[in-house]
Amino acid sequence: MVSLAEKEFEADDPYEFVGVRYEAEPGTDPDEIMARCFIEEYALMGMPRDRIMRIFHSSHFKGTNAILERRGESFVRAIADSIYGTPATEERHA
Amino acid sequence: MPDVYNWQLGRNMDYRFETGKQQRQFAAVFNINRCIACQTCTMACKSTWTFSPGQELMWWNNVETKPYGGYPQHWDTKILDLQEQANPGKQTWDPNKKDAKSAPYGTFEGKTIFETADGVNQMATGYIPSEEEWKAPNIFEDAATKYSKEGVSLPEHSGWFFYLQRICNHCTYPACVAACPRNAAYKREEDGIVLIDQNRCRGYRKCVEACPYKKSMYRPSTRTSEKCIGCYPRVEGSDPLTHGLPMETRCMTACIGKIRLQGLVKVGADGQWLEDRQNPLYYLVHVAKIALPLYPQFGTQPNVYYIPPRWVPRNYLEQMFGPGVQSAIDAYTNPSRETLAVLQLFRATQEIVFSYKVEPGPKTMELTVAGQKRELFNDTVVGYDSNGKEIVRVSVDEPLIERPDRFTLNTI
Repeated sequence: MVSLAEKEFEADDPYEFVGVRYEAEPGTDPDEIMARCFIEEYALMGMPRDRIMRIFHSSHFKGTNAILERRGESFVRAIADSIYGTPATEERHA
Repeated sequence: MPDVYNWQLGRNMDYRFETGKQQRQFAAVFNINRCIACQTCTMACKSTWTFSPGQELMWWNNVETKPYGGYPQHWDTKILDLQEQANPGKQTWDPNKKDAKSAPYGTFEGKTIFETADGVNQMATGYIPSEEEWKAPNIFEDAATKYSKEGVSLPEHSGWFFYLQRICNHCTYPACVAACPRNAAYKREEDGIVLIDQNRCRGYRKCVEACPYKKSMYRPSTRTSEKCIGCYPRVEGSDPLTHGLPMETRCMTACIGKIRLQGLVKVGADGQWLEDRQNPLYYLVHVAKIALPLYPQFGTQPNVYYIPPRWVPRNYLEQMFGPGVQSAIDAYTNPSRETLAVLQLFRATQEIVFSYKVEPGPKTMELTVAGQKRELFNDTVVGYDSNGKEIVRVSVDEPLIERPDRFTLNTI
C-alpha cells in the first residue's frame, strides 16, 4: 500500500500547489532588489562578506543561489561591494 | 452608537460599545521580511488547539502567500470590494492630517466596516466565506505539496510575493464582539484577548460574517464559533515552565525565523496604549514606527503589527498597511542602533519581555546600507520580565551556524 506521503497529487485535491507569479513593476530589477535585501538583512546582523557570498554559491540556499545562477557572480559581488565596501573586516568571523 | 477614538485612523468613529477598560493589551509585531513560510507557527497552533473533530478546516494561525494566497481565499480583496461598493471612490487617506501621537499615519477619510453597515442586519460590513474558500488553504500558496526522496522543486519567482502571517488581531474594537447578538464574544479586561464564550454562543455566525480578517470560524460538530484564544493560559502564566510569569503564545515561541515578538502593553482609560518607552512593542510601533497595523481602514484597531516587506511595490503595501509604509520601510532598511538591538529580541525567550535596555558594544563594521554609510556595533539588548528581572541577553551580531553539507536533502 502506498503511504499518504508518497501518493501522487490529483487535480481536484484542494491542497495542491497552484502558486502563480506576479510581475514586478516595469523598470525594476527583482533580482537586484532581492539580492540587496538578502545581503543587507544579513550584513546588519553582523555577517561578513565571505559568508554572504557562500549563501549565494551554495545550492542549499535556493533563493540566493537562483539569483547567482541567473545573473552570475559578478552581479552579486557588485551588490555586496556596494554594501560592504573595502573588505577590511570581512574575515572577522572566518 | 458610541463615538470612540481610533488612533490608527486618526479620528473618531462609530462602534457598538464604549472603549473597553483593559488593564493591558495583547499585542505582537511580525517582521514579514524574515518569514520563510515554514508554517511551524501554523502547526504549533493546530496541534495545540484545533486538532479535534469539527476543526479540520480551522487554522487559527496561518501564513499565506500574497498577493494571491489567502485563508479563506480572497478574504481581504472581498472586504475591500464590499467597502468600495458601499463608499465608491472615497475610501482614501489624507496623509497630511497627521499628529505624531494621535494620528501618526494621517487621517482615514473613508468609512470603516462599522460605518458602512446598516446597524440593523449587520453591525459591520462582511460576508460568510463559502466552504470551498475555507477548505483549500494552499490554493495560490508557495508551499511544497508532498514528500519526495529526491526533493521538491518549487517554482522560481521572477516577480514579487511575500508571506503574510495571520492570527486574530485581538482588536481594540473587535467586529466579532460588535456583531454577536448573544454577547458571547467579548474582550477580556486583564489582557484585551478576545474570546467567544462557548456556553453562550449559539452558532449564528455573525462573528464569522463580521470579522474582516476572517478569524472567527464555525465548528459544525459543536454548532458554535471558535477563534484564536491568544493562548491565554500561557499569557496568564499558567504554564509551569515560567513559574507564573506571562509567556508568549505557541505560534510565537515556535517561530524558526525569529520574526515574531509578542507581549502585553499598558492601556489607558481611553483604551489607547500608554507611553511605555522601554516596552519593545511600544518602541517598534510608536517610537521607531516600523511596525504597522493590517488593513487599518477596516476600523477595528488591530493589535498585531507588521514590518512591511521592503521589496514589494508601495501602492500594494499602502492598501494593506496604510500611508505609513514608506517611512516604516525607510526606518527598517537603515535601522538605528536601538532598532537593530530590539529586533534581536524576537524569539529570544519564551517569557514575555516587558522592558529592555541596550548596552553599547564595540564597533564591528562599516557598511553602506540603502545608499548611506553607517557603522555597525555589536550592542547587547537585555530583556526584563514583568518583575523587572533579567530574562534574556542577546547581541546584535547574530551567531552564524552553517548547516553541514551532508544534510543535502534537507531531510528530517
